[in-house]
Formats: sequence, structure tokens, C-alpha cells
Amino acid sequence: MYDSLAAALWRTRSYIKPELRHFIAYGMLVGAGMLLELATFLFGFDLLTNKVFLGEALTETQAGMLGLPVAEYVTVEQLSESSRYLLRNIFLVIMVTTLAIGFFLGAVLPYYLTWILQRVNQHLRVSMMDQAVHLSLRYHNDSQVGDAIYRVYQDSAMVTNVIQNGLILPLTMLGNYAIAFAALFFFAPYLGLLFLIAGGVSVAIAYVFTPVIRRRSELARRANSVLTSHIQESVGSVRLFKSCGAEDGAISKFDGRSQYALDRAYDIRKSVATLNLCVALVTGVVVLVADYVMAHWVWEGSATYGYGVVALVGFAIWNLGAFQAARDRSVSITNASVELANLWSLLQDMKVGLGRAFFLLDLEPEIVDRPNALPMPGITKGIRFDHVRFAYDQEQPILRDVSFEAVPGTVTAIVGSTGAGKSTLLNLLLRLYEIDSGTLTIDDVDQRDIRVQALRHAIAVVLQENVLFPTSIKDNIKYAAPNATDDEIRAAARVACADTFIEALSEGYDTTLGERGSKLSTGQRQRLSIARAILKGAPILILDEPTASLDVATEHRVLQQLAAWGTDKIIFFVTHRIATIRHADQILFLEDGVIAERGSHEQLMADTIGKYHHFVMTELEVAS
Amino acid sequence: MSSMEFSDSVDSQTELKVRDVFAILKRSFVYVWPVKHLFILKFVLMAGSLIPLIVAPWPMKVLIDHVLLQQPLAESTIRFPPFFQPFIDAMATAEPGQLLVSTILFLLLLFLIFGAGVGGRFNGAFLAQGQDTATQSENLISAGWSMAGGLWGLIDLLCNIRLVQGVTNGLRTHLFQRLMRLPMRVLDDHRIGDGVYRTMYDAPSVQGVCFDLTLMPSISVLSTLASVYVIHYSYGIIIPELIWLALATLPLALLFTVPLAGTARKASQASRGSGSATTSHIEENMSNIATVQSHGRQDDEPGQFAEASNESFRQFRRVVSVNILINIASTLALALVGLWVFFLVSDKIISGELSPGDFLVVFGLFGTVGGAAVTLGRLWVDLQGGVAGVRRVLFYIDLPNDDKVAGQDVSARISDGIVFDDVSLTYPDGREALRNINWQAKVGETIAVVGPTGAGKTSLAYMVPRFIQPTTGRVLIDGHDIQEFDVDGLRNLATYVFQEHYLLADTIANNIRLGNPCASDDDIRRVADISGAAEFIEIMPDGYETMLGRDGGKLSVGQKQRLSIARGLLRDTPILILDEPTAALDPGTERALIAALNAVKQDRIIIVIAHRLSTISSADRILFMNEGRITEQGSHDELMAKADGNYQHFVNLQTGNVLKE
Repeated sequence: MYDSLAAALWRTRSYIKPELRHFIAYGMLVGAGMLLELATFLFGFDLLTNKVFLGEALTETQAGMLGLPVAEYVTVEQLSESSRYLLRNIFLVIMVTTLAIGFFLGAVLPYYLTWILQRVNQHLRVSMMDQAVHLSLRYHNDSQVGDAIYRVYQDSAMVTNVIQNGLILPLTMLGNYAIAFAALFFFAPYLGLLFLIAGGVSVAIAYVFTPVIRRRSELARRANSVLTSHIQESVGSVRLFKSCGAEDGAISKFDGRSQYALDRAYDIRKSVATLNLCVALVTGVVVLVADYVMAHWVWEGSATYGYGVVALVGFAIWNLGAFQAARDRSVSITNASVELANLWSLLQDMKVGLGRAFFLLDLEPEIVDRPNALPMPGITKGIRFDHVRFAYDQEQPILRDVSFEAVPGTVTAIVGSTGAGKSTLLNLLLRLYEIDSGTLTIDDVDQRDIRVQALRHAIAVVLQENVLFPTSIKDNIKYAAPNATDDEIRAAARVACADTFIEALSEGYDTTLGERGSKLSTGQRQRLSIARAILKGAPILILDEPTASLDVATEHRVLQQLAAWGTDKIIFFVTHRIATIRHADQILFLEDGVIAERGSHEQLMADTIGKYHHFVMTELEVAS
Repeated sequence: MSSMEFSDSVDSQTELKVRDVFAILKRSFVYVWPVKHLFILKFVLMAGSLIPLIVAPWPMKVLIDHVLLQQPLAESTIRFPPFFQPFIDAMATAEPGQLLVSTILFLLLLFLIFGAGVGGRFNGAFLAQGQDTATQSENLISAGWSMAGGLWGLIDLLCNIRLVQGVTNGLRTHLFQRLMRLPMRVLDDHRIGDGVYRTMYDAPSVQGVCFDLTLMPSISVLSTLASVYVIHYSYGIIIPELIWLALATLPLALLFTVPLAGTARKASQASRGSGSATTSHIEENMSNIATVQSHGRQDDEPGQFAEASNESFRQFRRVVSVNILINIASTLALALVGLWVFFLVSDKIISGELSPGDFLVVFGLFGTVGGAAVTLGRLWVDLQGGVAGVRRVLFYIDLPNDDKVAGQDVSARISDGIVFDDVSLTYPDGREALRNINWQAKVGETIAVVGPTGAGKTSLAYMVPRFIQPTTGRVLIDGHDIQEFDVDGLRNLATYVFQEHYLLADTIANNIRLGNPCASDDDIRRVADISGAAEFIEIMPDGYETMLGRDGGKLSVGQKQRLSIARGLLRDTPILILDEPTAALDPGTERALIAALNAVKQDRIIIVIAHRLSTISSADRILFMNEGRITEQGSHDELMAKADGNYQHFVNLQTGNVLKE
């Protein structure tokens, strides 16, 4: 049953390893503290109860250790009052010293542990984030943002939890348990046996509770994740809810999901608390039974089992001190049992959390560099698609058989009906997805042989949906070229016709944008994205419906400036506007996953029954 | 309202006055009210869990002094407290064996009910949590705690969880409601991640504020009083100083901890702030993953994330340090008192006035007093973190919410039309978005709004459903100023299809149905057909039941657009506003859509913002806008007839007449 947790622990080894020496140092400090506590408490119990309170004589060893004269302290029937005062003060010194050390450890250890675990957590979070941004878009399309947040934030904490709760705490607690048990065993093996039986019963109870706790943990976590996603989505699409008057629906849905998540959280806690209670009852009853038995031994004054050993600290026979020391150890066994039971529940919960955390780490990024991947070739010949096929879903290929060529200094327009695969075609060029068959070459080098990073550096993109970050306009423009100078930024903004509106803003290029670039109109956002792509200065430029929200005059200006700027670039754009398309050097008309027609505007228009001709006529017809 | 007011810097005020705390407490209590029965129950259960603290030391004293040391009960040097006297009376003549069994049975009873006396007292159900504020808040909602063990403790714990959950959920739901009802402009300026973080992780603080200031002090005072009473009753004659010491414990603990309160609050607030920054960073990266990857930034982003995350850890360590410091301070205060008590009690034991069992009793009672003192001492400190969290939540709740202005009901239909009467809009920073806008539309008309980017087309359209309000001038529907209308009613008159396409991670059918939850499947098919969405939906293996990923996932922009239009059509409102509906549609689809709109236009007003001539030319009236003004208005033919007009120039550009040169 522990196997999956053990596997999880094993997986965390690479995160533990760099901090190993800290873990060892921490463990040694904890162990030293525990032994010190045991020694002083056993010694102190005897000293305080038997000697100070009851006035019994010291053993020779004790007198020797404390440097007290034998005549007054060992060979007497009863200690004198003044001796008892002196012993009381000695006890006080020992206790204060121990407490001072305890204070120190109590302050340093938690901080130290936090520090170590945070370092581990940091490694993990960063590698999860790294993984997440490298994953192929296919994964991201299917998963929800909120879920990703929940994973990185909440579930990565699970790894440090595994270390803390699966390793450090159980070891500490088992250490406590073992010490208490050993001490008890020296007092009386029967007591030890009683607690062993109680331990066995506790394990059996935990065994019965385990599946319930696991199931409830899974439910609770899932409910919480759903809730997080819901909040994320609602807040992100709040305009939509407003415009549909659907706010009340979203609120009541939130209410339901929130209540559901709370109910599931309550369920698992109920199980955990009940398990804790059962274990506490079992071991607690044993403590009371031990009380009964020990009281009889004290009456009889019988010898303790390990008197030869425990005599060192003064418990050769059962007396009040021995009773209290043994009881103290029994109580600490009970405490340790309950804590272990609680820990066990916690581990079940963690096991569920871990599965989710590692799920993300285990996903292979679909797109990785091939061994010996090449740098990006300097483009002189151009890009060539040769019988390329691609499908998101194998049943319905988006691109069935696409072949074409694009050379530097030309503009290629991609035209086709909605959903024909225009954007997909360009995503393949970027290698955001892997082509299924056929070849895609750049200057005769297979695109898949080029390092992904180098490939993407060579392509500048203006996407259909323009993503801006809530930073300054300047930072947004230089997103893909972090080292650009202000002059270069201005020049790029000029080409994109964005300079006028930026300069009209009160803070100009330093204006901070809101989430998703709000504050700007859609057309303004598009021009910022274009400026960003221009600044990158890459040899290939992709414009995916870049100008849909621009008015015609602005669009015309942007494209003219782009053409003048990009004399040695390969430019692709997707659009529906005839006025824009007609200036392209070549037009690809996509239909049903193949390029149905290809050529310049004049060439394609010459075919009066052709598809492109029909497309243009429809557009102009609607217009007039 | 300037955009700066919504930035985090406004909410970073950390000085906390007593008056503020009580103001926040008063507001927090609104959320306790619905679960007041649990609150009262919790109070009773907490008060009950004081019983073992006062009672349990006594059977232990009997066990030690009268059972093990066999001192006769009658020779006890101290008075047993009244609640324990009956047991002593009953045992007055008992044999040692009998006394042993009775005492152990008494202990067993205490243990079963309250979990007292033999250790293993559990008082919570904490589950795994991480090393930062965000993950720990999660436990705050549902972990619960109890001062007792045993059956009482279990019930107390469960009651506690339900109470905290109830209060937190109340606040969380209220916050969510307000988020949904915030005016458009406020939402524009805020980071979504921050909102999520606030909703989820700050709301639990409310329970701390409520309970720290009510239950905890009263229980602490109650337990101190009970202990002092018992100490006075049983030990007041032998060691009178004990009473003064017990009473001095509380002020002493406060003296040591209160100076640290300010530091604790600042640390807690900083920790929450940086945790929020980390979440924002993740959210941004995940939602813009295509941009990150296509700009080749996937190797740099994790580095920036690492910085944000590291900062949040550093801030959390500060919180840990401050807590450790406070613990040490309060323990130190208690240790001083404990030392004094130890001297007094051990003196009397050595002199024979007290017996060894009294040592346990006195320390047990002082433990209770000390516990209460630490709780009260920490109270102000713990409160700081809670108040910081609640204040961040209240900050959102208090943002002006112009939606909720009550107004007169709106009829479901429009008989006359819309009039814009000299409407102007000025942004808070002084920019003029719209100037002196006048136009009107009658039922049955289609209005096209045309003009260059940034001309104010969207602002104008936003005013119809009152997403924004004019600075001066009026918008009238059927002769009534829309300011007088109930906002929800008004929005049920108008449908707005946005330029950005918002799709939910739900099925296609449910995405469309959002426009009208009561719509039948046939209605959905009909609008999907009109908007041209049906053709791609129907070839999907799951059809209308296809689950969409985040932001519409696998759909192309044109497909998303058609779904948004279908959703808008499904609402079937008398006013339909389409913001660039056809930008990403191919001509065939566009034509079908326009035909469909024409078919339903008789009894409604359709407002279309568009650049495409084909969409514009069929409108009854065209508003040509430039720099916040309407420069020309009229039908396509009228405007085309205007020599050298803006619109004519615009059309010529579009059809390529100008480009031909």
C-alpha cells in the first residue's frame, strides 16, 4: 500500500539530492534534541519526585555525578530539608539549561526546515513551469488554465509535503515512539507488550479507514480544482456574462461548486478526525490499564525489569518517580500514535495530490529537438511544403495534401473559408504542431532537423488573437527582442502605424496596459502586435488576419510599409479582404485540406469558373 | 474613477488602527449571521472543553497522593474544589484498591468524553499544505480545531469546520458576486490572476477576524477566571501569591507579544502580495501559451517565474521568523511565571504543607492560565494577518458597482426606438472618446457604425446596454433615459456580441445556451444554422455535445465567431449589437449571416460595427465616425452621392478603386 508513496518519494530524490547535506544536518540536530530531552527528563523525574518531594536518598552514582557527599545524600534514611532545597536548585539549573537549549532548537529548527523545503519546492515549481511552457499546444488546448494554476501552485507543494510528511515527520515520530518504547521496556516488558498490541489494533483501524480517506481526498481535490477553474473562467469572461445577463447563472453555479467543494473537504476531515479519535481511544485506554498495573507495583515496591540499567537514573524499584516517568513515556506513545495516524491520513491525501503533480511533469513535450539538431539556415531559397498532412483528430485531417513554395522577397496570401486550415498551416511552419506526413523544408533542410528555438527565432508572428501582457507598451513591443533600443522600438511602431496613437497617450511608450491589453481598441492592439513582430526582424513574417479590425485606410498603409520594409523577407498573411489579397505575389486558395488554386490575383482571376474567381465575385457582389 | 485607484499600491496601507479592526469585525459579522446557530453551538462546545482543563488535574492528584503514597483522603492539606468534593466524599471510607479503581474509572470517563488526562488529545484535521500562504489558507477553511479530544472534541471539531466553512463561503460568494457585477472599466484594469487569488485565498481570513475577536477572548477570559477561582479556593490559604501570579500572567504575555504585532502584519501582507504575483505569472503564461511559444520565449519565462516564486518564498520565511519570535517572547514570559510558581510550590512540598500531587494540580491550572494568556497575547498578532486578508477582499466588494442602481422595470419589447441625445464621453485622464453624438434608430432598422480604428465605435455601442455611461447627454429608449431603467432589465433588451470571442470550457450546446438558458435544442440548432456554425458543429463526432477546451481550444477564430453570433441570436432581444461580426468570416458565410439578420430585423434594432463593405452597405443607416464624432450619416446611396465624402473615400479604398492607380 505504501508502494506508490515510496515511488513518489523515489521520484523526489532528484529534488532532495542537492539539499541532502542540509537534511542530514537537520536530522542530527533533531536527534540530539530528542536524546537530550529523554536523558534530562528521566533524570529530572527521579530527582524532583523521589528526592526533592519525597526525600529519598540518592544512589552512589547520582551523588558522584552531582558531586555531592555520600554521607549526607546516600547513606541516610531520609534527606534533610536543606539537602532537599539544594537538590531542588540543582534540578532547576538542569531544567533551565535544557529549556534554553530547547528554546534555541525550537527557534532554529522550524526556520531551517522551512528554508530547506522551500528550496526543494522552488526547484520543482520551476521545472513544472518550464515543462508547462514547453508542452505542445495540443495539451494546452484540452486543459484549463485554472487547472494548471492549481497544479503548479498547490500540487507542487505536495512534493515538499512528501518529504516533510513522508520522510521527516514519520522518522521523527518513529524516533519518539522507539525511545519511549525502549524506556518503557526497561521499566516493564509487559507494558511494552500492551502498547505493541495497541499499536497493532491502531494499524488495523487505519487500514480500514484508508480507502475511504483516499477516495474522499480525490473528490475533495477535484472539487477544488473545478472551483478554481470556474472562478478563473468567469472572471476572464465576465463581459460575456454581463452581455448575456447570465451573471446570476454564473453566481449560482459558483455557489453550488463552492458548497460542493466545502462539503467534500468536510467529508475527508470527518474521516481523518474519526480515525484519530479511534486510535487515541485505543492507546489511551492502554495508558489507564498501565496506570492500574503500575499502581500495584508501586504498592509492592517491586523491582523494575531493567533495574541494572535504569538504576543509573534512579529507578531500581517502582516508586512514585518511576510511576510518573513510565506514565510520561506511555502518554508520549499515545501522542505519537495519534500523530502517526493523522500523518497516515495526510499521506493518503498527498498521494492523490502527487499523482496530479507528476502527471504534468510526466507529459513528454511532443516537440523536442532531434539529436544533433541544426541551427537555422540563412534563407536564400525559401520554404517548401511537400505533400504535408496534419490532423488534430485522425478521423478528420485538417490538411490532407498541401504543397507549395515561398521564396524571399515575396508575399504569400492564404485564402479560404472559415475552418479551412489556414491558421493550422502557419502553426505547422512554426512547429507548434508536428506534421503527420510529407516534408516541410527550409532552404532544403528538413524543418524537424532545425532546433526549435532557432526556428521560432527566425519567424515573427502576428496572431489572429492578439495577446498583450499587462506591462508597458514598450515592453510589449520588445517582447520578442528584449535588447531592442528605444529608437528601434519607435521605428517598428512607425512601420506598424502604431506610433501616432501611442504618442497620443499621456505616458506614451511607458503606458501600462491592463490584463490582455485592455484600454486599447482591438485595432490598436493589432498594430502593437505587428510592431512587435517587425521589431523581431526575423526573415519570415506571418500575419494571421492581422488587419481584420483595422479600417481599410490604415490597413492599406500598414501593408504598404510592410512591403517596403520586408524586401528580403518571406511574408505570409491570412485575410479575407480582396483589396489586400490582390497585392500578394502568390495566393493559395485552401479548400478541404488541399490547395485548390495557386497563383497571382491576375492569374487566378483569369479562370472565370475558378474558385478564387467565385470568391472574389461573392465578396464584391455583397459589397455592391 | 481613475485607473490608478485599482492598482495594488492603493491597497497596501498597512497601518491598522483599533477603530479599523472593529469596523472590519462589524462587517465580518454580516457573514456570521447566517450561521449564527453554529456560532452559538461552537461557543457552548468551547466553553465545555474547559471542563477537563479544570477537572483532570484532581483525579491525578488523588492517584498520586492518596493511591500511590497512600495518604488518607481526610488528611489532605488543601480544600478540594466544590465540583470534585462529591467524589472525595463518596470515597471517604474506601479501601486503597477501591480508590484506585474508582479513580481510574473517573479518568476513563473524562478521557472518553473529553480526551483528557492520558495524552493523544487531537485537536484538528490538518491535511497536507505547502510552504506559502496560498496553500495554507486552504487548510484554514476546512481544518478546524478543538481544545478538547474525545467525543466532545470530535463534535466540536466538526462544528468548527462547518462554522468556518459557512462564514468563508458567505464572504467568498459575496466577493464573487461583486466581481461579476463590477463595471466593465474596472475589470479592464485588473489582473485576473489577482482576482482569483483574492477570492480563493484571502476570503478564509474572515473566520480569523470573527473568532479571534469574539470566541477566543471570551473563552480565554473564562478559562483564566475558572482557574484563578480554583487556585484561590484550594491554594489561596497556603500560597496566597499564586493568585496574583495567575492574574499577572496575561498582562505579562501581552507585554512581550504586542510590540511584535505591527511587524507580523507587515510580513503577512507582503507574503500574500508576492504569492499573488506568482499566481498572476502562471496564469499569464498558461493563457498566452501560443504567444510565448511562437515568440521563442519558452526558455525565458520560467526564469522570470522562478524569481517571482523565490520572492514569495522569501516573504513567507519572514512570516515564519516573526512567528518564531513571537512564540519565544510569549514562552519566555510564561517561563518566568513558571519559575516563580515552581519555587513557591516546591518549598511548600519540602516543608510538608503540600504533597507531590499538588505540584501536578498547580502546574495543570497554571498551564490553562498560560495557554489563555498566550492565546490572548497572540490574538492581536494573528488578527493582523486576518485583517489584511479581509481588507483585500472588502476592497473588491467596496468598489463602486454602478450596476446595482435600482430603477424602473423595463418592458420586454421596444415600441419606438433608441435616441442618442448629445452624448459625450470623457475618460478620467481627460481624453475625449465621444463628442456630441446625436442619432436615432427606429424599430426595424439596421444601423451600421463605420470609421477608422479608435474612432469611438465600440464606446458608442457600449452605451446602449449601459456598459459605460455618458459623461454628458442622454441615451433614450422609447423616450426614457436608460439611467432610469433597472440594469438587468435593460441588458435583457439588448444583446452584445463582442469582438473578442469568449467561450467557456463547456459543451458547444451549453456555450450557445448561455444566451438563453431556457432555449430548446431546436432553438439552438436554428441559431447555429443561421450563424453558419451548424456546418462545422455537425461534422464533429460529438456534435453539439463536443466539449470545448480553454478559450474555445480547437476552434478557429471564424468558428468561434460564429458560435458567439449564434449565442447572440439565441437571446432573441429587441436590440442586437454586433461588434465586428464578420471580420473573420469568409464571404459565403458572411452573406448567409446578413441574409439571416435581414430576415429577423422587422421587430428589432440591429447595430453593426463593421469594416467590411458587404456588411455595411445593406444597413438602413450608416454612421461614419471619426475622432469621436459622427461626421456623416445616411444610407449607403445617400453617402455615396456625397462628393468627396469620407464614406465614399472609405468605400473606394475597400473596393480597390483607389489602389488601381
